Order: sequence, then C-alpha cells, then structure tokens
Amino acid sequence: MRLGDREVVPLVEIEVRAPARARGGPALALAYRRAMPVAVIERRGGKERRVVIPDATGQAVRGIVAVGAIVWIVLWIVRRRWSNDR
Amino acid sequence: MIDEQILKAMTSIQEAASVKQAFGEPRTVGDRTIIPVAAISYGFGFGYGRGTERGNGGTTPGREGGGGGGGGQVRARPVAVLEVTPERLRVEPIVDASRIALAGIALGAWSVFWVTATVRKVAGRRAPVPR
Repeated sequence: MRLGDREVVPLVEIEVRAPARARGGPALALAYRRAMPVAVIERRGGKERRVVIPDATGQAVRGIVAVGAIVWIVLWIVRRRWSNDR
Repeated sequence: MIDEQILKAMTSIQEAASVKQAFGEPRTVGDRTIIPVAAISYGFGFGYGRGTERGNGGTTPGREGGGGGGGGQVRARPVAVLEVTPERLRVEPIVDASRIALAGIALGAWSVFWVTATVRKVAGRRAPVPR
C-alpha cells in the first residue's frame, strides 16, 4: 500500500489445510486457514527497511507453556529418581 | 453431492483469510496513519453419513437414511498497530494481558499440583516403615 512518499508491503504467513475427505463411507472433512502477519517492508527514497511485527501475546503464552512443560519434565525425573515405584 | 457443495463452500470462505484481512484499512489522523494488524484464522469441519436398513433378514432392501452436521469458527486476534508518521514507521504490539494472566494462573496451578504430588511421593519414600 502506498502512504505518501513511501510504500508499505505487508508480509503474511498463511497456513492452510485444504478440505479433503476419504472416498466412500461416511464423509468427514476438516479444514482451516490461518493468516499471521510477520513483517512489513517500508520502501522510501530508494531505501528498503524491514520491520518485524512481534506477536507479543502469542510469545508470552508460548513461553508460559514451555515453562510448564519444563516444570513437568523436571518433576517427572525427580519422581522417577527418588520414589519407591521403580 | 451435498458434501461436495459444502467442500466448495468451505474452500471459498477460507480464501477470505488473506493479507487484506490481516492488515486493516489505513486510517489517517492528522499527519499520522494507523494500520491495524490482526491474526485471522478460519476453521471448518463437517461429517456426513448414509445408511440402508436391511429388511426381511437382509433379502430385500429397506429404507434409506442419512444425516450430517458441521461447524466452523472465524477468529480475528489483534496483534499490533502500525503507526506511519512523516518521519518513520513504527510497530506498536498489542498485549492481551487477560490471556497472559490466565496462562500464568494455569501455570501456577499446574506447578503447585505437580510439586505437591512429587513432594508427597518423595517424602513417602523417606518416611520410616512402621513395624
């Protein structure tokens, strides 16, 4: 898109699962499509600059999930190492 | 036939998740232009089945029947705002504090549960065996 003397080019990551189903028998079809903005390229006066769009909420939630997974793995090792169940 | 029509409809609706939806219409306020940015997701699913009743011990065909159902979801989650001024282009991320807080609370509950379970198990091992 053009904004005054500059051009802004959006970059989007698109993830697609096309609808499909097996032939014959009961039909079951699932499909999804996701468009995630990744960055914009700003072109101005012959110069080009890439600006990343961070998914702050997504990163925070993924970080929390990762911490939860690490906690579980560490405690699982502790339980296996120091319990009577072996 | 019906399922093929639904598949076509699903495909056409899905095409909507594109750059145009992820980057909203630019709005100019004074010398600044604001562009909302969102993550868009579409999901659909359906199932359909047919069957024939067997009459007279399977010798004659009976009644036919069929049924199906489906559902879908469209979601738009704000990710950031692009602020374009005569000097520069700036990205202002949008933080969903409620979602992060909810994830943090879930992590706290998860950790308390597993730490308690682990301590009880390990402490049980070390407890003296009654004679």
